[in-house]
Amino acid sequence: MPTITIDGEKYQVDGDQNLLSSCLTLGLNVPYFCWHPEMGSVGACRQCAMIEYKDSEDQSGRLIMSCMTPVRDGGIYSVNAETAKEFRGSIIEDLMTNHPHDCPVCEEGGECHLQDMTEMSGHTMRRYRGTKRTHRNQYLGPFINHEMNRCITCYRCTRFYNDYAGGNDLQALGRNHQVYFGRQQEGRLQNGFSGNLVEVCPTGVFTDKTFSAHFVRKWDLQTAPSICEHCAVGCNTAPGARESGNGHDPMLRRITNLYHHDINGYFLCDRGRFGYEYVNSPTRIDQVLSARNEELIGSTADTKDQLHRQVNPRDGVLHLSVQITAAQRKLRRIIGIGSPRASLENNYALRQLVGLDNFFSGLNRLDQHLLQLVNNIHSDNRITSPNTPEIETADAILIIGEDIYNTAPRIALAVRQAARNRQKKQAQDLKIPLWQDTSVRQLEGDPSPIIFIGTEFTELTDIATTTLFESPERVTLFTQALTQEISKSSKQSTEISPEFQKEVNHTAEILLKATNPLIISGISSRHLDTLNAVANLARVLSNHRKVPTKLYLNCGEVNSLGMIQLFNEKEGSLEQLMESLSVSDKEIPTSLIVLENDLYRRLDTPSVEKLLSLVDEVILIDTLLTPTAKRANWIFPASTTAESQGTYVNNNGLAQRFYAVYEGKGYIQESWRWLVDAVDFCTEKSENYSVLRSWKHSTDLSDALAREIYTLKVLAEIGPNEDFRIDGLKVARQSARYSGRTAIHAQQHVSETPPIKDPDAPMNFSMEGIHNPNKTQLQANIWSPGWNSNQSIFKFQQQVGGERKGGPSGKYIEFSQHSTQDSNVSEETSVKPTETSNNLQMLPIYRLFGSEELSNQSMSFSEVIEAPFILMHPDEISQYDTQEGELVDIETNCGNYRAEIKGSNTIPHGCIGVPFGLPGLESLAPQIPGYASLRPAVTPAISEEQ
Amino acid sequence: MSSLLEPEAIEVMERSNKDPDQFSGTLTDEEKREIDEEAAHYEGKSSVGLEALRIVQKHRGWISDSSLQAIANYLEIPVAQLEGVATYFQLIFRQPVGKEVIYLCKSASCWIMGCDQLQKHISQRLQIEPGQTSADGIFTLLETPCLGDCDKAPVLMLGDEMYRNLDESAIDALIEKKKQVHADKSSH
Amino acid sequence: MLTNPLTKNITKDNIAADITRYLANDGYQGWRKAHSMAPDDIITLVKEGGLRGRGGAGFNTGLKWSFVPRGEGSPKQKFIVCNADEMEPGTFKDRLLMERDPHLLLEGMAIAAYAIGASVGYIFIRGEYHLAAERLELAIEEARSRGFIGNNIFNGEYSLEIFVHRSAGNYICGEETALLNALEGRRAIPRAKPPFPQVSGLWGKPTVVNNVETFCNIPHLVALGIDWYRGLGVGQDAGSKIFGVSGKVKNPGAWELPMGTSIREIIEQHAGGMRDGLRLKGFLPGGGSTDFLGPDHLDLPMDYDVIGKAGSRMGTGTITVMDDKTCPVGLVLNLTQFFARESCGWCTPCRDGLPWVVKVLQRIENGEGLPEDLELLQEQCERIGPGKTFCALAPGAAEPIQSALKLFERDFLDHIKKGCCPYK
Ligand SMILES: Cc1cc2nc3c(=O)[nH]c(=O)nc-3n(C[C@H](O)[C@H](O)[C@H](O)COP(=O)(O)O)c2cc1C
Ligand code: SF4
Ligand code: FES
Repeated sequence: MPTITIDGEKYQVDGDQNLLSSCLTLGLNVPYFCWHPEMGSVGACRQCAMIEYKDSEDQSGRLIMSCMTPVRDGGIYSVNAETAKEFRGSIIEDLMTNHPHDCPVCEEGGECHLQDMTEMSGHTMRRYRGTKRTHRNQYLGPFINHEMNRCITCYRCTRFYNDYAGGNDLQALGRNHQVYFGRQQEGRLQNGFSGNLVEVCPTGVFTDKTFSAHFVRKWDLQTAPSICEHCAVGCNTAPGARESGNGHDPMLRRITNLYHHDINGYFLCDRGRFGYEYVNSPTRIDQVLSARNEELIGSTADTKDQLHRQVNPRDGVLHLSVQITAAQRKLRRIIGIGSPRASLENNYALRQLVGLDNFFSGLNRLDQHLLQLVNNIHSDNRITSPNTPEIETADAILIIGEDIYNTAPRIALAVRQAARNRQKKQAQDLKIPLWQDTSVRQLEGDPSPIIFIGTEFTELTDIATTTLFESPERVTLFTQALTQEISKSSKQSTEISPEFQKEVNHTAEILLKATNPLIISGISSRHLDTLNAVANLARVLSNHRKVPTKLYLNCGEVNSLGMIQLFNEKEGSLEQLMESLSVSDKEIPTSLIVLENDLYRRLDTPSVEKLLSLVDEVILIDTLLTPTAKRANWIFPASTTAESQGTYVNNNGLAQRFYAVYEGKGYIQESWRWLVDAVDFCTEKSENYSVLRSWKHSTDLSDALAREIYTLKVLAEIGPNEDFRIDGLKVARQSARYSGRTAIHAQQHVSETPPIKDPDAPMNFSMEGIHNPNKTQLQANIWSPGWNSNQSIFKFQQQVGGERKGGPSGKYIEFSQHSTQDSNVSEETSVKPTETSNNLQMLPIYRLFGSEELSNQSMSFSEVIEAPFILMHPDEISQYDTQEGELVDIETNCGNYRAEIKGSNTIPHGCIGVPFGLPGLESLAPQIPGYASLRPAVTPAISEEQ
Repeated sequence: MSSLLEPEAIEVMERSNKDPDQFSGTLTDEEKREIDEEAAHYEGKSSVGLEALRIVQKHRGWISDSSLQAIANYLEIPVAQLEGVATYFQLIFRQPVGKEVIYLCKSASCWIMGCDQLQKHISQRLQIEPGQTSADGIFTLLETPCLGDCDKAPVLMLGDEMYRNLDESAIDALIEKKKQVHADKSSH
Repeated sequence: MLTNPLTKNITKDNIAADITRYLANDGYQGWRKAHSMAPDDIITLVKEGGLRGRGGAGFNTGLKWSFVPRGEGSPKQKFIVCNADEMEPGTFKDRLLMERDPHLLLEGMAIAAYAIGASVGYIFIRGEYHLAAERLELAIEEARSRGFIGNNIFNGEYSLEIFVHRSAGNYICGEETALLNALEGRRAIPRAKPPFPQVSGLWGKPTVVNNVETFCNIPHLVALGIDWYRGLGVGQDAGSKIFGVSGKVKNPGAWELPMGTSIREIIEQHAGGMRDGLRLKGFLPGGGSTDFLGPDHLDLPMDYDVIGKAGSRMGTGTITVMDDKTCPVGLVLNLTQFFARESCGWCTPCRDGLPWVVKVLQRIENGEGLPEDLELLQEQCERIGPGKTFCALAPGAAEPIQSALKLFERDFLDHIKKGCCPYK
């Protein structure tokens, strides 16, 4: 480690970092703009100037840009030298000649890096007497505001958007002092990581439009560490909330990134950043509802939808407790359906209440088997699950049947970085430090091998070295052939054409040549054979390379891998539940408690209807008015991630705790609390119930989980728990500058209302407590004195780009380790055409916006979610008497759907691509991979319509 | 004072790039052929963006939005990337210009030799400021950096031709000549 | 002894030396000789010949070539690029060479390409230089048809293609790394160094960029040898050079003269001295990005280091003369407007500092200047000085300003005091 002297102090620093990031790691305040910890240096802004001295004799030194300077062992530098300070001030002065000084109306104000740097550089007086250049702004879609006059031309936006995230519709235009950052024409920014511009831009050019709709200053936001619930990657987020004053309810206002070294680093995808609005959506449930049991009139009667009325929560709880008591007396059966989008704690509470025998996962059989298979694969010690930095350093990546850009977006961003590894290798050979961003990027360097095989890949195809679009069966075949090729097994499949075999051999060669190969797959293609084949491939590769194979498997939903831990050997699928219900004693009435789950997304509609007809009562605990809610007899409002505490297990098996950011409005509370409340009302004594009754804190549940379920024993170590204190204090959720805490309630109380108590977390819903990044991982308000913007994140890191102080949050669960025989999960779920007329196989395709249930309810998403459509190979469309862009009717065994037909060259013949979960087609999803038939849409005559 | 080349006047987004009807959104065969010819000299089609812009501008006078899109499509590069290049280079016009573009050298030697006076003269005669096009659509006046003929200052370039050691009467003659050429053309 | 290798084919009329005339006058002899030499020996010869880059910075050309990785394991593909983006205010030498003797440039490029092992060359020419580009293209055809470029030159294994790339404006394209970005079809923003183009240039491959006049020096240097070449110069530097004078002199023009010719000789003898009634007040020795020198400096020889010591730069060697009836503030304003407009927009001091300087100068010229403006100008010059900006454009822009502030301080003060431009 080189030793350097800065302003007379000696330090040891990491030789791989440049001088600027070394200084920041040391905690020194050096201002900068264009440098970014993840994107490196380009030397454009000239703000980071320091002085370098030749030797101890040298008095004047030389002005250098610290971001462009490698640290030299024995180097002598100064941050504080007058010449450096003056120069840095002069840079601000130059930038300010064009800046509009509109801080009071700028949404960046209070968390603006430009404000911070201006302060830090000490420029205070304006000498410039001229006019300022002005620009026109563009409409950039529902997520991002554009205010070009505030631009300081640091080039961070295009460097992130184009170079880092692979976007191509945002550009630096023009030249000299009129450089303009925008699109060629107005319109929505197309890249799925555009939201990061909000954080990457050091000033207020790009701001969060959804936040604008209910803006408050950063210092007025209440924050806590949270986990993004919109896919299974497990990105860490810092949601911010605040009540609206005048007695209005508190609301979730925005999501920002919360740095996690192993997962999301500095960046989130747009689904994660902007999908939060579902929390505030009009379909949000915040009251206890009861079905009116009234005869319904007209057409709604057919839907069997219930009409609900608001009831006193006490009545609801009472009802639930009555049912529980009855169940205890064997007079009623209570079935619990859990959910992969509910926390471990909530799932566990339900399991505890109903007993494992009566607990079901809420997944259909195929999904259940897929997840169980993933779980098995994780327990194989020949396979490891790579984290984001590991993905980024892979030198060959094979992606099988998983459209990660749409199903695990942050991972796609990591893969994009891996594509540059050859270039980086070349840079290292030329002794160019990797942080020298433009220098590295100008090197030639073919992309590192990245091979895609699957039905559809969006976005990432530009970095693919090979892309094969195949049906799931052929994907499996490819994977099997590859496995054989690697194991040099003589068994050659006859079904393989020479060209196909050539691709197989080529891929095998790449995987074997690589020093750090990686395979990515997952459950989204909904194909067990493929997943089995992938597992076998990984095993064989491991046998061959004598090290565990890095295999990233995407599990779909935020807590898929956590929930499956609660089932052990038991299947627990909805089909199994139906089987059990149809043979059960019809004399005993049955209550079905559905936890945070919409069954219509899990099973085809007739099956759900059948399931619901087998029970006497449906009790739902959930957040949104889903189709299932419409059928429920009782509905309890559940809290969302941002309103609750709990644990999710991500794709890597990392169990992470999220903390409540604020108290939900109305009667919203964690699902498990409704169950405990009901048990509290029960008169019946039982051991089971006394366990439930003993739960006071969220951590009581996680501790119980840790004790009871072997693979989850690490839950006991994820902290900190409720009783944790620093210097006797809890951590403050509000900033020390939180304003108006008396005034905001003035309408109701003249005196200040006491803050809400949090029984679960060692955090206050107030500004009292610890605000210190050095002391706690719980601080999600990324702030440090002098650093009001999110750039202060380095103060929370052990070193720039390193782990957070206090170590990584979350713990990896321990999959039961066994070197399994190459188990193949049975094939009973495979679907065969049942009717000859339905001859088109449905393949799932995914969309960043539209495939995920909760984010679909975000208001801003309505502009970006596509209208119902299906994809078909253009050659085949005409066979159906229609053409691209026309509406078609899709018929399956379970219903009819109308959608636009679009051409896609990647869809295999004889198949249609069906957007998974897309509004309007939600109930098609569980029928995939099934069969459908297609015909041009016939518009019914007017008279028929009436 | 406003001019296409004068920093104060180029507002990148402030273009009136309504397409006159004659330019279709596709390239002509000739344009494609010329672009392909150039492309053969470079590694990768994307390198030929600027040449393609020049070629299309040669045929169409300027680069409209749909011309820009057509080139981007043909080269298979993002249109934003091509716009980044088009708005960067001074000789690419993203607005319509007159049939004759007068590039009046405004750099040091020509300035010493009195180009400001010439500019005022042209402006007065054609009733246009630098950056503007005369009402008859014939002349656009642009100010340009050093044309590399400083020993014959002041100079201007019109079409491919250099005009040297200028004075007001030489300019008058030039303008008259060009007007005549275009009058003859339109009377045909 | 040949004393005018650069211009020996250039006649009074505006015609290009075609291949017949070029060959008749010993054309392509240097290339023929070089082709029989080992590439390393050519590089050594050029290095020891003392040829310094004529693009402005004066870097030893052979030394520059020697940085190109050679031998086993080095990249196969390499490029030679001619910087013909001449746009420096007051510079008019490359146009002359290209329009009148295009083969000389091609011959020089061929030798350079062979020496570094490049198989493709580009002439990056200013978009406004239509005639030069046409004549070069014609010359390329001629040279190809005679087998001086193309496949299997002189029946050997070596092949070379040369293409003309027409640019489209923008002074910064002359900065060699910005030029490479422009050639690749990108925005012409300078690149970070290292890596230097010799290691990773065009499309990431080793690339040498030289000025037109630099290349034109090579054929005779190779053909006639080091001693002859060194003997051409009369001062410290080797070879001859195109010097030029513009401004209000009796006989503005360009001449090939020995390196080290005194400024007085150039201005008074060759350019005929000032026009009647005018006195020389100052001059830019080599283009708009060099510091003003005054009458005191007339006896200096045009040598890189001597002019450097006098506080300016030889730059392109084309002198712009300012007479005593021309307003220095106006001239500096004109130059700064140019640089502000030509800034690529990458780094702050240049992008935002220069337009500010323009506004201050404009104010002074309009008679609205304040005494503190001079201090501000001084300060701004320091901010855009060498090492403080990303490339050399802004430091170049600072040179005329800072020197004018010293040399013509009176004029600046007069503008402010009188509230108007005393020259109007
Ligand atoms: C802003 C700027 C503009 C330049 N313009 C030119 C130019 O027009 N022609 C040129 O030959 N060199 C120009 N140069 C110098 C080149 O960067 C480079 O040094 C030169 O082409 C090298 O050739 P040489 O070694 O033969 O001189 C310029 C440099 C800068 C910083
Ligand atoms: S000094 Fe900076 S802004 Fe100016 S041209 Fe060079 S890099 Fe571009
Ligand atoms: S941060 Fe170093 S130059 Fe911008």
